Amino acid sequence: MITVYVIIASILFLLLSMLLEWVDRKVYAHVQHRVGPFVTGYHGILQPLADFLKLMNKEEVIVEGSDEFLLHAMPILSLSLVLFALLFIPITSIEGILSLRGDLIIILAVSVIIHVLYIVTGLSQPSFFASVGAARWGQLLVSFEVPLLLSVASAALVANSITLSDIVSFQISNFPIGFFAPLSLLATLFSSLAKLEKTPFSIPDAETEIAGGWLVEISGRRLAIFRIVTDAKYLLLSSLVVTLFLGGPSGPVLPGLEPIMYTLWFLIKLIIVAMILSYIRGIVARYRIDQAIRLFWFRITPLAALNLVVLIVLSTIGVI
Amino acid sequence: MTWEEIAQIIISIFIILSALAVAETKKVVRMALAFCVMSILIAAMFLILSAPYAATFQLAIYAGFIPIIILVAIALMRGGEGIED
Amino acid sequence: MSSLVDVLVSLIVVCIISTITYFTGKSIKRVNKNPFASGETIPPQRIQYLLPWLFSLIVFVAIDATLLLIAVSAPSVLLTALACLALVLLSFLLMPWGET
Repeated sequence: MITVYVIIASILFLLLSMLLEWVDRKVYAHVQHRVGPFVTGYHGILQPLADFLKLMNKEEVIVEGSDEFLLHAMPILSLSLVLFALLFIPITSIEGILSLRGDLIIILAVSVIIHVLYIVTGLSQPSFFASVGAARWGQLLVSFEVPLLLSVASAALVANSITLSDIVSFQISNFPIGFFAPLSLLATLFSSLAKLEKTPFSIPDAETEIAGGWLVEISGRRLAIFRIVTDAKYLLLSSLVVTLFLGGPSGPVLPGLEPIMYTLWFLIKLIIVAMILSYIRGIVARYRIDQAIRLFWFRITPLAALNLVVLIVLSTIGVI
Repeated sequence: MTWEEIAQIIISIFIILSALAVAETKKVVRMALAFCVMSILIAAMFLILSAPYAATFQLAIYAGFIPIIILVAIALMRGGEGIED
Repeated sequence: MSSLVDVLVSLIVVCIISTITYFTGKSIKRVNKNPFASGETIPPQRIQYLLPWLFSLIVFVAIDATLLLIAVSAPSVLLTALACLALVLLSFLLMPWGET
């Protein structure tokens, strides 16, 4: 029974992540006074699927001296890990398809392991640009994980649990946690931009600086799978922001129609968060690596730490 | 032999195999990846032995952060291959 | 709460789905030499990094290994949790950051 649920859910998550990529490309284009994808499907909604099918049909070129076993294994492992993490998100009810005690930490750990796999991909190609891209991934990763952990810790502190179903049921009966922790919400949005390599922090995959970074020699079906993993990670991080800070699927419901109304509220909040992230992407230019490290360590980490300390003090007094 | 005992034996065999891979492989990048796989299997063992909090923190620290530190050390020491014809 | 069997079965099913997706692509393969081959020999070059970044790596390890435990245990053993949090944030302030 669980097998059937997982297969249907994986196909639906991949289609939803392609829809989010379409939303991202349309918002990015309209910010720049362009039109964006227009020809394939209704206003270009089938464009991400067309890109995926085109890349699957191209030949793959490998540089002599690269590690072929690792280059075969990395796309498969990244896609399976991101689909596994997406199964824990509560969409149609308080619990997701899977639910364990402590699954918030499982989602965070799985997303960090995916970045480990990116660094391994960069190091298994013999090109100098791939090594530079992998080293920059390492430097950026150390910087943006700390504010993300501080914000997630403040959300777990307010709801007094590290299980996603408890956090969602806390927000259904009280206020969304974003009212108690606005600075943590801001820090999570910045860290999500860096995790997805979106424009102020698109440092490891910069085309004009390091000729493509860790993706410089990857083509064909591997590039298709890595692009799908980026879209699925976009879906995962937006759903994490919605679940932790904006209330998840909560909202006014008609009694008896609850799964459909919960899904509708979740999709509305998800698309609003995705549009905010891609709107920021369209306005700003790219940072240098030392500017990005300085920004995360000296401006964003103190904000998230301040919010955590204030919440600890308030929970001792007894207000929360 | 209940289901749990069979699962414990199978996971123990895979833990020993991946630990041997960490110690004996000749390429440094594969060593970091084998360490990550071994830590994930130890976390699965903790889950079978009914310790969910130990499993989640093992996954977060040993399978996430320590391979990053190893790989960053490798990347900063190696500096890419030389470009020659 | 779902049982352990469900979690392991779903992990295996997801691995099978991604393997099938990967192998439906074409696998015509061409092996190239390094595209920047020009005839000269360039020795291996080291990557630049800034020394204060290594201190940030140490602080990262300290924060990430302890922070979720502090946050989960804070409501019950408050004074200990506040002391540990203060020590961790103090290590962040006392690092010799230098110019960066």
